[in-house]
Amino acid sequence: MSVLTNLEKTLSILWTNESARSRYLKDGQLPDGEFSKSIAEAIDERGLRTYAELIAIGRNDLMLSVYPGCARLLNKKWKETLDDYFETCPPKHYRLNMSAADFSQYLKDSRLDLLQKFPYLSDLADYEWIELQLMEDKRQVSPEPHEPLSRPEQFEKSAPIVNPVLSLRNYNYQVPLIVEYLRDGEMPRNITPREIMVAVYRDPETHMGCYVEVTPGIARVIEQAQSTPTSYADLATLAISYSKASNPQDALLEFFEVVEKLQSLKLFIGTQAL
Amino acid sequence: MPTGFLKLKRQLPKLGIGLGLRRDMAAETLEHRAQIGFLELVPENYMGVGGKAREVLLKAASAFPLISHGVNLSIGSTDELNLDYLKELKALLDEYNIAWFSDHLCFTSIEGGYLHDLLPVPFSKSTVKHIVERVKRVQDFVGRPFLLENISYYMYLPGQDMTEGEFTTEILEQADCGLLLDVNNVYVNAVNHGFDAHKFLDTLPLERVVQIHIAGHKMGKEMIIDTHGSPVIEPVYKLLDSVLRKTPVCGVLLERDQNFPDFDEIVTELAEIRKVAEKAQPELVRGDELVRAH
Ligand SMILES: [Fe+2]
Repeated sequence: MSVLTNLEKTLSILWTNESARSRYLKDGQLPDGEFSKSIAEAIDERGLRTYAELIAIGRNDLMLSVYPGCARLLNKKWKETLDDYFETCPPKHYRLNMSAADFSQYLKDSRLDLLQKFPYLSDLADYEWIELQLMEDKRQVSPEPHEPLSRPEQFEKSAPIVNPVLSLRNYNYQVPLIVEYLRDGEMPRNITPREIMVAVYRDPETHMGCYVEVTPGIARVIEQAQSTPTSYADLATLAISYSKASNPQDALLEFFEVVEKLQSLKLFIGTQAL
Repeated sequence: MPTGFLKLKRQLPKLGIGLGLRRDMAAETLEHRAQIGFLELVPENYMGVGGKAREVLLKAASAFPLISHGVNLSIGSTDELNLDYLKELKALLDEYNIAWFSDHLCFTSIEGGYLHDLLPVPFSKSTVKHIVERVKRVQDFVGRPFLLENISYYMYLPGQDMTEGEFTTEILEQADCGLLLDVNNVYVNAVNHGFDAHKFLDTLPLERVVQIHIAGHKMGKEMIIDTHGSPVIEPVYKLLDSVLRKTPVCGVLLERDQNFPDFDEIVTELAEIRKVAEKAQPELVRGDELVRAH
């Protein structure tokens, strides 16, 4: 390892790892011992403390902006959690925001202690992250006019265009409700497990993130239309198989309502011929 | 007759007094075309990013000359240069036909991990050699004039065998690139490490300055910190004046990254910078006026 590599590596550990830094400041012990004594002694302590603080502030600012709900929930545990998160998942991307990408997975993999207290924590983290990810998605979306499905051949031979900047998320808890509590400055109460599906997407005009809770049937329709262009007729068949309506006509009417709704929400952003 | 980068510098446009393009001030920035000569973008915020950011960038590009100021080239790291990064950067610079691009004389990553902070490298002959070779490769790859910026550093690293002035000069001359001189960083370093900022300026190859950064700072726990979060102070204006009297430049840029004030305050600060430039280097601001009128 070159001297420069060794120096950059050692300093980055001292700047970001509180216990390594304390050991060095206390008894001059460096994280790896490839340095001469003279170099070890020449590391400026005031500088170490300053960079440690600046890096920690940068990380906290970023994570607070992406995960305001998790931060409120974790409260006094927030700082310790962040330190451990960055130690476990060091940022691998040149884009700052990407440093926050693995937080939900980290909570699932490494923080059973926190999940025991807040079982919905990793769902909440995913919910908070996905909005940012979609806001930054590089795909451009240009909505096209919707055609009314008045003629049967249109129903058979055309398919909806699904907003490409969209993600269907499966949660074990009612995350939107949890977010509401936290936004109001309250701790979530009486949260019991309940599976929900949420469509998260970017509005093509305002570029804002949008969330809509969807039923399993609607989720399947969106998923199918997303994976391959599928005629309205085939989507209707799929939707009807999930419907609780008492007869096929009502189920079909229900499907038309769903299509209209998805269009107005800009989850469907146009119609294409098959 | 100048050759290489110095010759190139003469051909670069005079953009005048500019402002950093920041999400929190983007709307007001775009409305103040008459007060702003050019915009500087942080490419990492736009590389591979769509949505609102791209919309803002397209609007900015249609109204202002844009230049690029990166934060994660990590020129001082011993990690391999990140080719994916360079490809995305080049694509962005080409798409918006950006006249020059810059990054910092520092490292930001090690062993594939990004620290997302501008971290100092030792001022040593071996670091010079390492960085020169990398700057040359970056310039060859991107094919546009490249500037390195002097950073605020809060510690000297062990193993130094040169002064900052010698170090910077060697790198810029051997790699034949330009200098983005941040006069606030000079001030911050001079105070924190106890040297004379004006004397320090004379140790730099000022003829290579293409662009100047000016910003505010604040007192931290133990040192003053380059926060870009407060107004520019008088001694920093003096440094600006001093540099402008010594060498022709193509742009002076106000950096504001946090603690955003009312936009009127930004406009007032830009006017203050313009006033200094008008006296010290009128041709810089004339160029700016032509661009704005156009
Ligand atoms: Fe700067």
